[in-house]
Amino acid sequence: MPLYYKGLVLTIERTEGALDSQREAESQVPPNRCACIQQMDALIKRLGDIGRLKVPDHFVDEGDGICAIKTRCGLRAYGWYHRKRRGVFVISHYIMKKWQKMKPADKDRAERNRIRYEDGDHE
Amino acid sequence: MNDSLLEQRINKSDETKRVFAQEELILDIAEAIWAEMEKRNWSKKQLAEALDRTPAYVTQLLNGGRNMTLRTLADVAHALKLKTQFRFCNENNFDHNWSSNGQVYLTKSLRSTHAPITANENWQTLDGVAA
Repeated sequence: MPLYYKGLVLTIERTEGALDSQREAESQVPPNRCACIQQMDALIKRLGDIGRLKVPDHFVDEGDGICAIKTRCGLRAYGWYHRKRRGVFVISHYIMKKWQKMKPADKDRAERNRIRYEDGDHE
Repeated sequence: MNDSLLEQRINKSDETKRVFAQEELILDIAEAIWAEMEKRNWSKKQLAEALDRTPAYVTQLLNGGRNMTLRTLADVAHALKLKTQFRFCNENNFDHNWSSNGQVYLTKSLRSTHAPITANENWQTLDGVAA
């Protein structure tokens, strides 16, 4: 079961590769900015409990339904609102981002994960 | 009921819980400020002008990159023509219904918000008296 957090409003799930990408991304967080790891946890928990993140510095629609959850140090999680199951947000993968714009490769990766996830066994 | 994977991460150690609590409060305040900005159709630039600061400063306040002092929060509330209301709650009994914006409540009138705070032994007002 890919359940990550059962919030008051949204259920947060993750794809199979999300954990590995999270470990890799978190390993790149500079030691003096490691609170960003807990910032990401707080953002995801709030997304689950409230159902949205309003501040654009925290959450942005990258287009085609792919969203980014953003911390101040560049740690990001990409995901989407499940198109078939209401009230589910799925995290595709994490990156440690040192540039402002989303790389096309990251968007492709999230879109591929979305197709695989929504058409796969996680119905 | 077992903790979710996210809750296990948060509760991994006293240190992770402590830093998470800091980040959660910063996030609650930032989202509350943004909600009030949205109501006024204010951009970061407009809030920055009201604070006599730069938009980059506002960005840092909202994303936690800059430590927001209580004085800064009071300045933000003043710029938005609001007051802030604060109370502690039991860590296991966070009441999301108290304010849709989170733990810190920006309000037009401090007095007018006393009414919705019904008796609840898990909550304490700033002066330490159970509301």
